[in-house]
Amino acid sequence: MALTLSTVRHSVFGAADGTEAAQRLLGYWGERLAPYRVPVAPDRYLGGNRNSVSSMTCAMVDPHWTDARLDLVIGAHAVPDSDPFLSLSGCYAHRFDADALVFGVSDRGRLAPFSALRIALAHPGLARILVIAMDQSSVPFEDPGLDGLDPTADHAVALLLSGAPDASGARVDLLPDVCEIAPDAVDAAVDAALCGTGRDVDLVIAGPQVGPLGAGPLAAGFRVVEAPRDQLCTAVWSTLADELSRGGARRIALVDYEPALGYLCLATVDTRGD
Amino acid sequence: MNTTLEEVAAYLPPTAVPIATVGEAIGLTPVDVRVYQKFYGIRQVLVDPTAHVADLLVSAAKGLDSLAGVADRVRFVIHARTIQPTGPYSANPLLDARRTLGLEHAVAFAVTQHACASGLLAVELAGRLLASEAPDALALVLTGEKTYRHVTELMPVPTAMGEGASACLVGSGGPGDRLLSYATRTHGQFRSVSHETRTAFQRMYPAALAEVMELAAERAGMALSDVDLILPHNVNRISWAGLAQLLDFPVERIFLDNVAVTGHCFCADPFLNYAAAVEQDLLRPGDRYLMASVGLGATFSAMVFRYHGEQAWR
Repeated sequence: MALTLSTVRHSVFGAADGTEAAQRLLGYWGERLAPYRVPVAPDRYLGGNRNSVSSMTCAMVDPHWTDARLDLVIGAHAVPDSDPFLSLSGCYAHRFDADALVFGVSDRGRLAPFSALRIALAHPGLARILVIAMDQSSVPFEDPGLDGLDPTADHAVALLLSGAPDASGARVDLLPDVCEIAPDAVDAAVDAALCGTGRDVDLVIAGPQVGPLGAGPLAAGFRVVEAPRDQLCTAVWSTLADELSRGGARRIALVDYEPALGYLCLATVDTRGD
Repeated sequence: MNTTLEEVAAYLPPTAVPIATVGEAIGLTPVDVRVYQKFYGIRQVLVDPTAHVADLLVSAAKGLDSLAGVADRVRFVIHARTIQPTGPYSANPLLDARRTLGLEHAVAFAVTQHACASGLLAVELAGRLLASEAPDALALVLTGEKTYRHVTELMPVPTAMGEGASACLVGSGGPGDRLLSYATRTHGQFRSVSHETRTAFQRMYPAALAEVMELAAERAGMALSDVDLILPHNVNRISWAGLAQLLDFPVERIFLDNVAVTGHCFCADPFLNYAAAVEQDLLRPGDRYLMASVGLGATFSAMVFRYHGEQAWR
């Protein structure tokens, strides 16, 4: 089973409009952070872009809504939502349609979009699926895991997919996740996984935590591009958007590693060049 | 899809907090408290003051008799969550729970944005994900969250939040309770959780919940009147009494015992009620039961299962 990818769109968001909910959310966050003895950092939140999962999703759906209704919409994100009191499914139902299945996937660090894709794959036959990877940095606390994020730019990447057998576009295959893997074992694991696909890979898009690739026997045959370091779960997917905009028939592998989880995720995208 | 519920465990926290104490914290007057007790049927809530979210999840999962024996078959650990953020980014209770349970080999993630109805969504998604795994593969669906004053204040219906948690082993084609249908509908006019929409929400709530319950029954190939037991969310007793009247469904077949005891435990309620109903021997082999939940935002969901009877893990 595979998904068919028709478009990939990467958008960068500046400051969101409206700040009225901000103070209320600081109180809410204060309660949530207290058990971890993490102080509230209001300036980081109030001075941030504050693009919510809901607002970014709706913005990414907009260009696709002119075509036809979507069957399934999954918002995948690493960083906590900047407005958890604004429902993604509610916003979608209000603005677009109440019949699509819409929900969020999180708590998987930079690998959240891979889980979203696996869930999309588990809905065979659906003609229009939108998986949206999102990164935003407006959180009211300091966290070493978020130090590398660019606070001035939030990112979203929308992948329009189909599980219908007759869909046209690039073929997306998810390779089995590799779990409990140490950083120094990632290179060999990537090599083994890509060798196992039985076809040459033209380009590998590697997440910034993947580390150097190239020690394995397959390595000489492919070019590696490192995804941006100032993004989390959108990094490899925004790079894919750039690469696909160049056209051409290629096999592209996406590889991302989340050291906090010890997990490696891989996918391949086969473009037909049209 | 052939999704099955293989085992369900409930964690009922040890500390009972009287509704008068909860009311004081969220600004209820003494009159309000009496209304909560007598009219809404909420006597207390159960909390675990020293527990973190991960502790709640682990406590629930450790209640699964079969987990130790099938841990290597667990492919997915899914935390169904009402409110997505639990704390700072680098503190991840789901991963802590996964590690404590020895399930590092399983893919773990949270399912959100259906609020308190995310638990039913997680079971549905777990079944779909397992369909492409080995026949004996399992998913562990966890629910349970900490209570906070901000959350209780924002509830659009009168309720009090508790910290009960649940753990479900979901299979595909296993011998457990077979999932017959799932129905969900989101009403976007309530997308922003606030006091302003509370009255309008309360007005539409019974009809919207009735609609999705009837749809779930219809998709299961039956009428709602054929459902043997409804396992509801535990917001309050009066709303279910009203709904029973609206649906012409016997209120005795709605399991409401936990409303007075546990409080509304986010996504966990239907699963806590399932565990209690099985404990009280309220289900017979072949019975069909319906789980129902409503999430802020506002998502209404229902699921129908056929009870297997003698539990597979026993």
